[in-house]
Amino acid sequence: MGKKYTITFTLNGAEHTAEIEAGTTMSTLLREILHQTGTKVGCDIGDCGACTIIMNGRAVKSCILPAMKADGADIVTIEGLAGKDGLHPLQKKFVEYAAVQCGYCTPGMILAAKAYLDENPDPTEEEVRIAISGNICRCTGYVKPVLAILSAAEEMRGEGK
Amino acid sequence: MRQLGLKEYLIPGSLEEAVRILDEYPGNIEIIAGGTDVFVDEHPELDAMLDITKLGLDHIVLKEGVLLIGSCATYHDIIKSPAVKENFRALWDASNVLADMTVRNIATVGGNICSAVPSGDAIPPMLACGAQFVLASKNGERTVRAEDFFIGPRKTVLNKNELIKEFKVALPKERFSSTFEKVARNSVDLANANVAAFVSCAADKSIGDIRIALGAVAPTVVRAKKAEKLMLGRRPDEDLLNELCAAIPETISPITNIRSTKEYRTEVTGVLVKRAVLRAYESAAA
Repeated sequence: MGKKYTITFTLNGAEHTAEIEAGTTMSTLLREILHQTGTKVGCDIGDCGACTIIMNGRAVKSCILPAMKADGADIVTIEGLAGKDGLHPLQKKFVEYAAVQCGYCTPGMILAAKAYLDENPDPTEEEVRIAISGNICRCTGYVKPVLAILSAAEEMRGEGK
Repeated sequence: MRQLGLKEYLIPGSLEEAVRILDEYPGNIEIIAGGTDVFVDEHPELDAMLDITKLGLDHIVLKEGVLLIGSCATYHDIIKSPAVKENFRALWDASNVLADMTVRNIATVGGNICSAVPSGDAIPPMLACGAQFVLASKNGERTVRAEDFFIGPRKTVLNKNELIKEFKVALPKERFSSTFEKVARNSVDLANANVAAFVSCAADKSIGDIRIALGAVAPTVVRAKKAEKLMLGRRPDEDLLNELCAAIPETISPITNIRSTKEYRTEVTGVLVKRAVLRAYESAAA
């Protein structure tokens, strides 16, 4: 077994300390050590994107991310999106637009969208598709998710409802 | 996936510390940057990984006519850089079609270069634009030309105790441009074929200098030197471009694999060369 390391990071706004091993992945840290199972593991080899989280503002796949990289980092998972006012616009629009079927890709896809919109609040449809290019969905054909993201972007800009 | 057998994960804070560890570590140690090509497999043979992302090697700077790109610059950084978009367009183009968004957010140019896979999208731009690689070790630094760096699939001249510090691209004084073309089965796949072209123009808008690099169609990325010679001093037209296309097959040795056939790769490489050269020329001559 590997050497044990103690890391400290911010998760959804709260500071955490965890003990991990050299080869621990971020997805394992989140799901098995911190019991935050909103982040899903699909392929475990960095292809499907179900495991997508936001680290230091960027959407990344947590199954191929060394947990050691979380030390000193700011992490956002799906559990951190809803606020005291309720669901995040992205979450609300995914429900409204029926962009969720089996739901397995959804947390990752929403986080990929959020990270992108935080950088580019007024994307074209093409840009949204590129933003979620790392998130594979077997169910929806991507049409409703893309519409939901565009609508959420509108609301986040203070334009729509 | 988790790395069950990995004993240590080291994150040095300085280049000096990093190269010292690379030289002295008493076991099997390998460099990791973004990690998008590392944690996808198990590596039972490795004792340790050396994370080089905290060494400040993510700079992108244009200094006295030389573009300097740190080995740990991510594709996200490249895409956001006007300096790269204007002066090293081939790498900028490649960065936009490499893998997918979540990979580009953390994957580094240095990582793609050191993986040395024949289809690596960052590689043809380096060869086409005459990039030099600055390698660091505890013995100091040495510079290697891009086209001398790659020996075979996943094999480079990088010594075990070395890491790539940065990439240097000298900008020509003449009008120039570079481009990158790629075909793949889908938007996030490895290339079936990829091509980078660099063109600079003389005052009369004829081609002064041209370099064409072909990827995914040979054990390493190769230059299409015969085709390049055809283009010197010329202004590209349809006939010349078709001649150019015909000179490509003898330069390459594509294979048939799960992604494509050698026949298709041979055909499409010629097409990509035509497109890349024409686009680079039109941009340089404009």
